[in-house]
Amino acid sequence: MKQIEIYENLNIIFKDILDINEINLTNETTAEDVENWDSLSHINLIVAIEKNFNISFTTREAKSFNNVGEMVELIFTKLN
Amino acid sequence: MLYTEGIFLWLLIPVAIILYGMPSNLKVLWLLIVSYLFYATWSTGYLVLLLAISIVTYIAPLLIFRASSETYKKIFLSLSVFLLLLILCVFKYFNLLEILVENIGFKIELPEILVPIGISYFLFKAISYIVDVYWETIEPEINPFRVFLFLSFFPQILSGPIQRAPDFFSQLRSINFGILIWPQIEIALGYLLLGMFEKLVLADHIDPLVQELDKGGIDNSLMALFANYAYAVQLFTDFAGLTHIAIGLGLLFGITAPPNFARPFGATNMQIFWMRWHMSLTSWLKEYLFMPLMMKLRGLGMIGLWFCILVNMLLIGVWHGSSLTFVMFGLINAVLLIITIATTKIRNKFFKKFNKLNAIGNSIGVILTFNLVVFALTFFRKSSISEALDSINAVLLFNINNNAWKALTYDVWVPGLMASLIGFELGAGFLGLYKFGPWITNSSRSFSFILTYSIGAILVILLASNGTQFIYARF
Repeated sequence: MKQIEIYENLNIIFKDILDINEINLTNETTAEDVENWDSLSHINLIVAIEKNFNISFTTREAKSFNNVGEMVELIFTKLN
Repeated sequence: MLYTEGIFLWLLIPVAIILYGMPSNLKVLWLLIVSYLFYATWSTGYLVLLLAISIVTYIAPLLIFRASSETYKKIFLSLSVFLLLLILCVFKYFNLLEILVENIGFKIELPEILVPIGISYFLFKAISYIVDVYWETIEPEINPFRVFLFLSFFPQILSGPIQRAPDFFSQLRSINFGILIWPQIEIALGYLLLGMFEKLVLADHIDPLVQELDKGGIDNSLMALFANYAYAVQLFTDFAGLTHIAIGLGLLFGITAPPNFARPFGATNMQIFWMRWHMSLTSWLKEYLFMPLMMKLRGLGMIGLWFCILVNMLLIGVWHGSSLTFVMFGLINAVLLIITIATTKIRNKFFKKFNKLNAIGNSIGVILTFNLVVFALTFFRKSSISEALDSINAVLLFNINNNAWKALTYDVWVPGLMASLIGFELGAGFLGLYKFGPWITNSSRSFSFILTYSIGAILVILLASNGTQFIYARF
């Protein structure tokens, strides 16, 4: 899967989990830029991402992302 | 030695002047010596315990960092954190053992042990530092004195705030550390004055009012209710006072501590309240207990979330002590939080649809939240569950014996009421002396600021000798 496809998938997941209408994630997006993205919904996002890509994160990984770019990077390495 | 004692305040001046004047490579050592001397005024025996814990906290992160495999890292992490938690439990909950054994039918005589002052604060700091190194948030600190000072830094050792290692160490490394910077000293003195004002003028004058209202509350339900309201403000002013003194002291020596309160009485629901009350403890628990536990139980959905909230709030409860009332306090807060979080989506939808009702919704939210907090604090305050239930009953019986009001003397209720109102306003609207982080927008309270501080300054001078023990120094 290419990075661009991961972003497309993430946009759908984020809209669904965070209950927002429009979102355009970039590699520099952080939790502060996105409405409703708090620590509770972060866990829900992690669960949804794991299910969608059929991968699994450790606690350390889940709290290590500084932005969406790092998240995509890790998903990409796990998939390939 | 207490922060509000005259001798302590006088000693600050030479300690600060020597710090500003000395070569920068000795500053950490100087503050460490002062911190140990300060701790020794409480107990020399427990200073040895603090030293032992400091050594563990210095070595464990180095072992974790240099371990050759993940398995070894995990072993070092588990062993060190387990050891620290064991020390905490032994000292804080030792007396439970006697009660447990007695319930089984035996009687043993255990020696009375005093809880080392500040132990729950410096042990939490130690654990977070070790876990941070395991999580690779920071690299371990090579200089042992910095680690020792992190745990023993005297402005924070009695009652926090619980600062995190990355924050503390980066400030020690800053070129501005321990240097005379006038604007910073001005802010530091502002915090010291605010803290003294909150403790000596507000909290200590609400206290007698609470006691008198409690007496009258037996015959008069309104008085019983007011006693509970006033106690909430007393607890806030007492602990916020202590925190502000700690922040001010830290700033004098070049360390900015994290805040503990950000307008808790202005919270519109219980979830927001707990993000604004004793924040350095709640954010610690969120980071090192709640989130890791949630990650482990993330497959369980709602049930997992509820369980994590329950564990988290029960721990906040028993962190204050081993009595059943603290368990009940945690339990009530857990239930309230679960209800709040379970209804978030519905509430958001409703207020999105009827956005004109937002203002009314928020007002109802603030009033409801304050009353729920007061309700939960009844268990926090009373020494047994039955006493707490009696106190709640007293409110609900709607007794109206007006003679009870007459027993309230003028010299108790006038200062008490004034202090309660100012304390409430500080808790609902005051945002701090300068920006701390993104959650504090800015302070628009310049009028009340000037008013309360000028009155504060005078009263602090007049009343400084009557300081009593801080409530939170017990925990």
